[in-house]
Amino acid sequence: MANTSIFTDLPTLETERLILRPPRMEDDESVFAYASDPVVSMHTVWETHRTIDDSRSFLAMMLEFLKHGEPASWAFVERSTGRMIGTGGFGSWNQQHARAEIGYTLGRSWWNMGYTTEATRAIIAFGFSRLSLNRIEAYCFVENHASARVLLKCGMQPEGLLRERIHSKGAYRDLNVFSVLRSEWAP
Amino acid sequence: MTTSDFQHDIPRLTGDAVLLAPLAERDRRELEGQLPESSRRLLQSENDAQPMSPASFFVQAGIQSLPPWGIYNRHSARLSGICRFAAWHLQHRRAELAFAADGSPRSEGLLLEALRLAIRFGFTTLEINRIESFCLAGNPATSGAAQGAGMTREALLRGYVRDDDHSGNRPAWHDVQLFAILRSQWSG
Repeated sequence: MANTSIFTDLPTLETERLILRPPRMEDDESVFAYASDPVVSMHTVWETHRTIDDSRSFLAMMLEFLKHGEPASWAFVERSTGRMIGTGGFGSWNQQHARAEIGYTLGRSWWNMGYTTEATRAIIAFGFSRLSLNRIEAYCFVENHASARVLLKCGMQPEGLLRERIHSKGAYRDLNVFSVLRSEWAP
Repeated sequence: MTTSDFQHDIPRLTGDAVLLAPLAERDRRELEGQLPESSRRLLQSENDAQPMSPASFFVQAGIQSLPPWGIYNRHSARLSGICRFAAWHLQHRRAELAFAADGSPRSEGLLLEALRLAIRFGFTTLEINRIESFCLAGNPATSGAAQGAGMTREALLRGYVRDDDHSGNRPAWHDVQLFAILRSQWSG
């Protein structure tokens, strides 16, 4: 069984154009820049950040998760500019069944550049190699076609549509579920 | 309404041939030795019972479990199965209905009636909007019961549960079918 302390000392991952590193409180302005964008939060369960305190609360929560060895998100940093442009990582980890859920958010200025796919592939690789996962899954609102495309590009298979699975922002929402298994993962 | 409303006991639900009643202690002990690993969470305490699918990016706090019901033949008082709301997400008004039966042909009808009673309870008393069940893909009896109770098959979750009873050197994983029924589709 994987060592939970891996999250207390979250490793930095590197891709061709990104650095995935532990989040910091100093990322507050960068987080607020994209989390205050209602277009970004349209397909999330969290509310659009109204003040930078909302972003600080989010970062504090991430750091608390890491402190206790719980799955959390990496900060995505664009190599060319050094800017923090999003976050992503594991939202749940069932060690008994060796499965975990992933999620991500990216600032709108960096959409349609392949960054989310690039970061997510690195996170998936980490999950299979360092967490010894058998299954990595992801959920997205059925209206979130962009996220579905990312998951498919990462080699995930669509498994079904879960009707009115959650209640978010005043309405019941349908979710699509995707997964990739270790046996089918091609790095 | 929360689980504190059922802190001391869950209500008995009576059907034509079946009675759902709080699990008798002697029955609980007997089941502990009989249930496969994948079903033992049905017997765990309300604080320990693990939901099949936390999905935490989309789920905040507020997951509770109710105590299990024994599924009893109303006339013989014989125990034929168990069911419970193993995960009740208050925010999302959704609950997992987990169940297991002894697999005998005579229990099939009882299980079906039990699920219908539990579903009715979920929609009317707990005021849930969505009830879901996770059934091992290689178990047609449980998936048949879910469908017979009015649930719709929504997804095949691949490699979802580990089989710790698997013989050999490597663990095997099982696929799980996810069934669900919505209040809007429930015919009562």
